[in-house]
Amino acid sequence: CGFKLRGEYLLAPELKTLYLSSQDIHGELTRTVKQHLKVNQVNVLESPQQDKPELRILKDELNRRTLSVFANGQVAEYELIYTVKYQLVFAGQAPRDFSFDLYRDYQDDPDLALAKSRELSLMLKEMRRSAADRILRDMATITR
Amino acid sequence: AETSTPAESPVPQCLPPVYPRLAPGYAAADGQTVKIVADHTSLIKNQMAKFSGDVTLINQEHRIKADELEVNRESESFNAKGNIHFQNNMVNVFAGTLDASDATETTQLTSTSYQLVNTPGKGEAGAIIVSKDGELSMLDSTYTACLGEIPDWQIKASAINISVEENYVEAYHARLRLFGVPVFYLPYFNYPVTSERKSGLLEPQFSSSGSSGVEVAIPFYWNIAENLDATITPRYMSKRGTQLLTEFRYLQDLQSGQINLEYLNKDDELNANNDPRYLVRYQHTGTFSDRFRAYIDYTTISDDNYLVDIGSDEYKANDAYLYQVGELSYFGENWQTTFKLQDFEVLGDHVQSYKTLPQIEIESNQPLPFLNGQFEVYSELTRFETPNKEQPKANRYHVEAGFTFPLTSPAWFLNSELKMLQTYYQQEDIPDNAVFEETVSRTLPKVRFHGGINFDRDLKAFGKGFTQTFEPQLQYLYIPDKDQSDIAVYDTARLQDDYNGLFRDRRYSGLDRIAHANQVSWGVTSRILDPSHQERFRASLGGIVYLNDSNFAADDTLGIAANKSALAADLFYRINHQWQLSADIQYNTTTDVTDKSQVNLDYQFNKNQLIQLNHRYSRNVSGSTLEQISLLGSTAIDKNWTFVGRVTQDLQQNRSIESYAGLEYESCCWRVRFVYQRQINTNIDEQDFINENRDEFNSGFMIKFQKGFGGQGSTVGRQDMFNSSIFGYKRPYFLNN
Amino acid sequence: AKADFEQRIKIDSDRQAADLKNKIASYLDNVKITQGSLVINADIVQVFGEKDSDVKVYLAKGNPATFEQLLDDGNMINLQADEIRYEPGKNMITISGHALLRQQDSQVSGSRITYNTLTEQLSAESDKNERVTTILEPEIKDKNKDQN
Repeated sequence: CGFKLRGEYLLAPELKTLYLSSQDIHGELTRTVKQHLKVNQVNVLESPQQDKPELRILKDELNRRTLSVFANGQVAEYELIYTVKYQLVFAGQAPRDFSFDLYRDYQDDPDLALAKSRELSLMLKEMRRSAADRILRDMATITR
Repeated sequence: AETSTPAESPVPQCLPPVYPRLAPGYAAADGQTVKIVADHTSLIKNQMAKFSGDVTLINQEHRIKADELEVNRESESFNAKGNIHFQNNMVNVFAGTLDASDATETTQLTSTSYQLVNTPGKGEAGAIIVSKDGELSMLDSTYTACLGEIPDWQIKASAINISVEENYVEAYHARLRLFGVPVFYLPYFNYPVTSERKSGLLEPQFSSSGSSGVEVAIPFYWNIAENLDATITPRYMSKRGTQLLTEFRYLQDLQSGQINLEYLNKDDELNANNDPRYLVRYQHTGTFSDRFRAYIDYTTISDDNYLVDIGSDEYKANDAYLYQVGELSYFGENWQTTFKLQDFEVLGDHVQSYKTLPQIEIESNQPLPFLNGQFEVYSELTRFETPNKEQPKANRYHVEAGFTFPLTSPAWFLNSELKMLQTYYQQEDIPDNAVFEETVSRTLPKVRFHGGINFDRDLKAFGKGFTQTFEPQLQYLYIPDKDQSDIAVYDTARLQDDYNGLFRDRRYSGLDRIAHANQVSWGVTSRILDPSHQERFRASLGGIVYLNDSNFAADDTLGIAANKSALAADLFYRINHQWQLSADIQYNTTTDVTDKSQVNLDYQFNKNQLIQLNHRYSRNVSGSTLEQISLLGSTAIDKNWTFVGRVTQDLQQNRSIESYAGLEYESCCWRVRFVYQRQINTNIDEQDFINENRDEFNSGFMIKFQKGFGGQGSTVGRQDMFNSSIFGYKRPYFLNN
Repeated sequence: AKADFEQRIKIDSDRQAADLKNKIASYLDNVKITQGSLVINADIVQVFGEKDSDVKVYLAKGNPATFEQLLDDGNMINLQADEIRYEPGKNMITISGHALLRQQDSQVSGSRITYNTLTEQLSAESDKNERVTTILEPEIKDKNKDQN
């Protein structure tokens, strides 16, 4: 049926080495992205270099929106909206801005508040991993 | 499900007319020297000068153009007649007469109209005095930032003083007129001209609601210092009395925070009790050295129904619990630790939640030289406390250590994980009938292999080159069986089986239950990417095949029953710029029943015209079934008026949950919103609900001035209207790390 | 000052010419007219006599022609222009063409300025492309104070 193994998912050659920066260098998203880049054979520099592109993680934000309510009116389900804004700066070019949202449904339960907050941090970790994957997939589509 | 938020149209700005510089060809002489250009000049004894014919007086501060000008050098004064145009770097004034004295450096103009420079403020005045430092004081004058013959809003006042330098507009005996109709009187009114932070009144808000009657709130902003400010808002409620809302904010290099206090001394609406009703919230975020982070968010409330009856900006009326958390974390090179105190104030007759006093997490991972491997250690020490006598307290020590090998290439990926999980409990105050032990130790290995292959192919459709992907995934998870009935449940609950949850290594949140697993999760995703690699279509289907029968078929109410096997699917299809469909479903193959489903259909006529239909069904959300359908519509009636409507119907109880209609008028100089909202009242406890005769629904009407009278304002608009309904975005979480 | 106008008018120049029929005397090159503190310098001066009176009109042209005089209050007044027309009989001076009048702490420039030496009143007009520009210095007040 015409399917073949994906060959050229690889990044454009100039993106094989880049410097990763962020307002909050210890932020969880930045660390997840760094690890994801390394696993995908990208050489992440420790300090910026003139001719090498820079990936800047600008912001990550988690918002929630009520999706449904219980019979007594209290919130039953939320939609978690994880927004990521980042920039890709090629040497000598103006920075290009990117932004995307990831959505997850999350059922709340007032009787299990603590367990539900543990679930929330687990989902946040998962959303950060898919955000890192999404950044890499976006970068793979960028031609110089 | 992907719900697209419509793009926000740019906010129209009131562009003040720009008056070109008078007598542009002539430079001002320096110092106090005055240069006057005219068609005809006469000078008597170097004292009395008369000028006529397109006369322009030029000095350092201002330029005056008039038909005639007379200068008396003896008394250092001059006056002008006919088509007078006074111009300085702050204002252009057109006047009938002008008298000025250099000695007192004031210029007085009568029967004037003025236009501020580079802010849209303008108006007329019986008389204007321009003083030395450029301050304008105007007698029986008007001020507006709107264009057009009849300005949308205009302030008429016996005296208005404007100082652009000290950035304030001050009005005495001010009458606010909307579309030419006087609506509001204020003896004194002080307002910032530019957007710079300046103490003064902010826009008043008028609203009415079933629960509180007619409400008027007038916020006063107090700019205490450049890193301290406060907003004090007396909020009068006809049914309840006057509440005082104060928000105090501080910023100290890397530490910032705010305290919100909402206080109502006596609620006239309640007949059962008249103690004060309040909400206090303290938030603080801070970084110390580069590696430390701190975060506090503590809220307490006078009674469970506070949010429903009085409402607050901090929490929504239907929120079920308030956060009380304090966290301090340190980030090392490849390890981090967090010290956390967490509690919740649960509203309504729910089981009181466990507190973690404290919870200490330590995480580290060391890269291994081979196979991209990592040696990961996650450990956690937690002290669980509860005021509830029938529940035990406990110390829990947990360590999860092992290796992960993430291997990735464009065509495939394989993540393998070998971990050991060791947990040790010390449980106290165990109720007599419980089977919990005082000390329990649990050791469990975990083996996980999660792999996937990526196939692509080109696809010709609608004459364009698309790429279709086919991404099958498989995961094997093994965790041996272990009876854990001797451990109480502190922070554990069943996780959802949606598509994203299929490839997790756990089926419960928290650590008190580690499910026996000998299961294979499979999943297939296919995407269609358009030429610019935007995802136009995505369908995923997956499920879990349990090779073992679950060891936790027990207690369903605690939400920890594991069902046999789940089938999950989701779909996203952006048909074209207008139509977008997204749906997901969780289907239980053993009981042949849909656990959860959602369908979302968006139709966007154009940038500011859209309809969104949404249907949700959840079979079991902590014991009850939910089914809802909602319709959201937004349309721009003309360039100023926007309408947003939303109706949500609960199909289980078959009643409306919320109907919301928002009409917003926006012109360049202000934005006002008329909102009608009818939403379900959260009935927290039956008994209290009845004797306080709270009705089932709370409906209300609101007028909200959005944009500042100074002409600047937030670019919120329609998105904010989406947010202000029950189902809007409400509370951003603080992401500490 | 007023005393100047009783004084005799003296004219020096490199060359002279006369047109007796029309009673016009012309003086050329480095012409200097003095009358007490009043001094006119110009390249050409023509003196027109009236038929049956000894009233004369002096027409000076120069590049520019200049006029200066000491006023009663002790300040100087200077005029300069392409053409200066002095009519002592009417105490009138009319200057035109890049006309500029400077007196203590004020200055007027325009296409044509007329100045009455008796009433010390000047008036200036401009034609299309050149406007009358007046500059008034603030110091005038202090000087008067010291004097009277």
